Order: sequence, then structure tokens, then C-alpha cells
Amino acid sequence: MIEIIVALTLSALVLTAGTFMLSNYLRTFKKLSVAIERNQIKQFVLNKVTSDIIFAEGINKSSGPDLLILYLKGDTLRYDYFNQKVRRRTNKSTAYLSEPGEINSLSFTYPQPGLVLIALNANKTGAYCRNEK
Amino acid sequence: MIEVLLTLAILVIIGGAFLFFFKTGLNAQADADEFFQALNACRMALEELRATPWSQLRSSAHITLTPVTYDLYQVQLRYNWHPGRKPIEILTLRSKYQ
Repeated sequence: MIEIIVALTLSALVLTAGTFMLSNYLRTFKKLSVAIERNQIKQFVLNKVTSDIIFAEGINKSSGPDLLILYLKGDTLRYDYFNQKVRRRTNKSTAYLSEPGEINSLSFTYPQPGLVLIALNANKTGAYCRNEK
Repeated sequence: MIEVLLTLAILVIIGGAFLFFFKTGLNAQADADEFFQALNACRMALEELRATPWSQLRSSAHITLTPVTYDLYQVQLRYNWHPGRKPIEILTLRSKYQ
């Protein structure tokens, strides 16, 4: 009888500990997945914006902190933060580069002609328009 | 009684190890985020340098300029992004001609 009670107690302990570890593992995995995914999206958006600036033929004078307007390959390209998403518009199409909640803020500053500084959440980077005409 | 105590001790050791692994994973992610921010800051510094006219080029806290020829600088960027971690080092060239 005593062996059964001990065996049951040990099994209960092992199962409880296993459940605790599994739930912790799943919680950590989910947290990490979300953080890594957001990081990748931020990187993707920043790479896209900087590459467009680098290859642009000019920056429109109407560009401001909330809206970046570029001339690229005969098209007008606009970047802004709309409905909690990063929006990229050309003359013919509109594409959202992120989903709501993935990116909290996007703004642009223009310290020198041709140079655009981009602030995306806590990340700051810059790009110089090399082909400005 | 001794069996229960032994099992508890083993579980605590294994559980502690697992929690340590989880914490390491979270720390690595935070480090990756910080590294990504630092890389973007480096990129910004180099792009600012790219936009600066040749006559106004100067070394700064993170950037060292070494003349190679009269129309070429070697640019060395060194950025300490985290104490105890290897700094980011980028070596490139900047020509007088755009």
C-alpha cells in the first residue's frame, strides 16, 4: 500500500513539474517568436525604405516628418504611417509593409539635402539619395 | 519520504536548468534587438558621412578618417554597442568624387 502512495506522489510531482516546464517553454517560445518576427519586419521595412531612398532620383520638397515622397524610375513613391501600418504607395499601387501593432511609429527628418533620417520605433537609421538630379 | 525529497531535488535542478535556458533565449533576443539598433546607427553615421561635402569631412567620436591619397579617405567606424561585447567595426573608403 505504501509503495503505491509513494509511486503516486512521485508521479504527481513529475507530472506537475513537467506541466510547469512545458507551459513555461510554450510561453517563452511564443514571446520569442513574436519579438523575432517584429524585429524581422522592422528590418525589412527599414531595408525597403533605405534602398528606395538610395536609388531615388530625388526627394520631393513637400516631404515632411510624416510623409516621404521620392521620385524613382519615373514614378512617385510615397511612404507614410497609416492606420498603424507602414504604407508604400506608387502612382499605380498601394502596399502595406506591416500589420497593425507591428510598428508603432515612423517618421522622417531631412538634416541635409539628399539625406533622410528614418525613425522607426526605437530604431534610427539614414539613407543618402545618391542619384539626385 | 526520502524518495519524495530526492525527486523534488532532481526536479528543482532540472527545472532551474530549463528556466536558465529560457532566460538565456530571452536575453539573446534582447541582445539581437540592441545589435540591430546599433547596426542601424552605424548605417546612419556612414550615410551622413556620404552626404557630407568633401571639404567638411572630419573624424568624429565613432569615425576615424585616414587620408589614403589626396582624393581618398579610409573610413573606420567603431561603435561600442554593449559593454563587454565586441564593438562593431566597419572599414570603407570615401572618394572625393560623388
